[in-house]
Amino acid sequence: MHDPTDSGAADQVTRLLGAVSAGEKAASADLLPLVYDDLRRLAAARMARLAPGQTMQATELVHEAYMRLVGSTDPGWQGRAHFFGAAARAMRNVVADHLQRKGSLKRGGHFKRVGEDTAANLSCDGPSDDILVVEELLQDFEREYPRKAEVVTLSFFGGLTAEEIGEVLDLSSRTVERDWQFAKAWLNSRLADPEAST
Amino acid sequence: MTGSLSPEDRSRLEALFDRAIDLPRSEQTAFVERECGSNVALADELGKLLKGLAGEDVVTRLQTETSSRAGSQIGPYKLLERVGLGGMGEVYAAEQRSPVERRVALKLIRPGMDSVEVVARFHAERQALARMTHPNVAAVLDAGSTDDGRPYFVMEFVAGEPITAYCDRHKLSTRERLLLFLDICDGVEHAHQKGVIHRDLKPSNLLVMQQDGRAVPKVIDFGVARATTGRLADHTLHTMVGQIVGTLDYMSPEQADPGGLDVDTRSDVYSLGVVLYQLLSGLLPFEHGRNVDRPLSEIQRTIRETDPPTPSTRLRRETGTATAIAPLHGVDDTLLVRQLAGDLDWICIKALEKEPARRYQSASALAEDVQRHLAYEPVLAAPPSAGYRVRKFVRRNKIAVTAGAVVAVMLVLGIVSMVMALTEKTRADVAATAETKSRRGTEVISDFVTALLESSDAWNEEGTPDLTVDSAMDNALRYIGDGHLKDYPEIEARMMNTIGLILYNSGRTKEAEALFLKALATRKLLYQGDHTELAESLCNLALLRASQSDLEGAESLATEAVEMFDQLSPGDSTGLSWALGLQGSVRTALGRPGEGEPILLRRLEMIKRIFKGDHKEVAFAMCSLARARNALGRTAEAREALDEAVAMMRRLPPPGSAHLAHMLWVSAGVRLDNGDHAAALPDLEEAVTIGAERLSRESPDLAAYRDALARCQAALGE
Repeated sequence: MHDPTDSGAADQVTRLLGAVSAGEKAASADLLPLVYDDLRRLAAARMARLAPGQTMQATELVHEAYMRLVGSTDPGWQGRAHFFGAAARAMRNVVADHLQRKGSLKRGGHFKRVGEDTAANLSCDGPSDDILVVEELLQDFEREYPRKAEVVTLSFFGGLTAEEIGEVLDLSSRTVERDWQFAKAWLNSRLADPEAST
Repeated sequence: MTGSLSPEDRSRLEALFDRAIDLPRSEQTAFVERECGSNVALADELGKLLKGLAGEDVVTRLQTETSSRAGSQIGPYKLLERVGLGGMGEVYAAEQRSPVERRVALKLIRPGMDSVEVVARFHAERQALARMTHPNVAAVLDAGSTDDGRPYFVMEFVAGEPITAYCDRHKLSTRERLLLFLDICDGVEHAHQKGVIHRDLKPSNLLVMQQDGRAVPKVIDFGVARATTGRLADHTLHTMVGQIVGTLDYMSPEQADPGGLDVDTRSDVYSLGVVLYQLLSGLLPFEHGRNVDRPLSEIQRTIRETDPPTPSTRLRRETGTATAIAPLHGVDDTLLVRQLAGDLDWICIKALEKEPARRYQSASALAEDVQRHLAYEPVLAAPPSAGYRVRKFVRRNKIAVTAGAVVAVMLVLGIVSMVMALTEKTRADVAATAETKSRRGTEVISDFVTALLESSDAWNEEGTPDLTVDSAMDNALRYIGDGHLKDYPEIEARMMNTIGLILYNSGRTKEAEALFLKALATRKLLYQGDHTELAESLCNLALLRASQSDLEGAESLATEAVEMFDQLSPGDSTGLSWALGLQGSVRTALGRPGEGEPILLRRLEMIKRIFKGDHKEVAFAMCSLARARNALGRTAEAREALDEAVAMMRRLPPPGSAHLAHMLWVSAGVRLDNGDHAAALPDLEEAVTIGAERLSRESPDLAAYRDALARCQAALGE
């Protein structure tokens, strides 16, 4: 079977992570396109193998990408943080693409009760409506609080820890925690009461 | 769209939000009104945020809810349903098909961990993990990694709920909670014996399940924390955002130290202390809370440097909390505070000592103190100040400890723990009668102890040790005689017993007898049936009768005491071992060493289980068994045991103690019996030297040493 990931990309990722660990924060930005490409290819390959109705988990996908691109070489926890940071952003991009195709949900009244359907997954036809609603709200939030929205991206879409987010965004863990509290309160107030955001 | 706030309002909003989240919800509305004034947009937005904070946390739910892998297969395990979700990963109930068919729990670690390393670390500990077989430990069965490289652990399936939730849901009493906690300690001790440290003990890893109609607690996740990280601190801090604080709650100071060394079993003892604190009071020793303003390093410093208040202090201070929590224990708040005040407070605090060396040294040592509390015996844990005062008191007065083989040690324990206990423990006991009375009771006790300590202080300068102790006891007798304690019969009886023992040891047997008899009568009235304190009184009197050569009387009292202790709790206890020692020694002295020997053997074994390693209790128990064996003609065995006991005593501080003198005397006695005077001589000389320094001049023991030495010298001179 043809490996959808060429070994060149993996080498490049390893090199970039090495650079990040060595303190070159700028190298982190170069990770995004590489990881993003890989995630999309993985998603496509995986969907072809899935039975109809089966869903795929975002976290699984990211992990698989990690294993392919980084494998058993240990990039240190900073390197790992940056990888998952890039993956989280890539994941959000995928979700944003879907949202654009589908159009606004919150105004169309799609959002009923979050969680009735399990969430945070990429199904065959894309992310669940719940995730799309979060993405849409996050875009609103981002316009006023860009840094806090970054924290949400890394935490929500990448499952990064406070330390990892601090490393990627160059913030103290304390700031990360505060931003996260604030963002969560903001998002929850709109999620629990869709009227609040209109 | 929300009306956008100005950049200035936005930064005000952030600052106000940070302040508001630490306020009780009831005060938040007023806070918004006060701080936002006429700025309606700001007030509106802040109000919305606080509502979002208080309401359902949809974001976190969405974040953690990933589609379940139920139905899929991992190795030989078929995942049935997801039963848990946390920072570390997900837990599934799964079915194993081969090589055996059984239900297991499969813990799938969150992505991003190096599975090769995790699995390798697990396998390094696997042998040890496999050796664990204990009803309170969930067996760890397997570890591996999924096709896509995520590590997983497989363990015995425990259909239970966290111990804290279980206790609250069933409204378990303090006693019932302690009994469950003892089982947990048992399981943890077992693992420690097998060389496995848990490193992540917390209620979610302590599950209670129903088994044959009984609540059985089980410790899960042994080996997982070790495997998923080289150093626990790393992993525990790296959980999902917003969950950091939760995992720090149970972490020992040495774990919270970023530069800390590897942890040992005493780190688990600390975590058990946190769990105990929480089970008893519903509170954590440190409420790191949701205060995100506090930097992590500060929380870590708190854990390393701040001494937590006692559980009862917390409940007394936070009356709202107490009223909310007490019903979950099936009592009201004042009673709950009373139950915790004293023993249980100090047991928690001792388990939570910053220095591992000052904690209970093992999970079983912690459990034993809890058991002592449950059996109404004095606990080892003590408030630092009182303990300090008592140690000073004892040192200053060199209390003469010269009782018979069995009793000497109990005496010291009795004095020390009594005085400590009096200041705190009896407060709780007495409190059971009435609130006001209890306050007065406490004052009465502390007045008494203070008087005792201060009086001995005053004489310390000029007096001999004899005079000091005697005078202090005179003071104590006068104090009791004046009726200061007549409203507190339990305390009075305890005092009389202890003072009686001290008087007995100073050769004032008549006064001691009167006190013992009075204490016994009081306790018979108080308890109307079997009780450890009643049994203790019987022992005291048995000891006294033996010294008055009324061996038959002593025998029947000791036998009664043994039966009572056995009835009350058939397990090991210091009380029972004391009674056995008396019974066995008296029967030996009555010329029935054949009966005495098995009793004294049982006692030695019990003592060895209670006090591990070198301990004067062990030495004394060896000593009395040796005497019985000598009487049975098993001299070689007896001499060997005595040599060992003397050697043990010499290893123990302080050098040249009264205990050592006694041991030397017994050892020499066996040699004299066998005609080996030359070997006995140096032992007796040393015993007399120590005795002259340590013991009261009237001490019957010192007289016995001198007598033996004289006879020995005479025999050698001929």
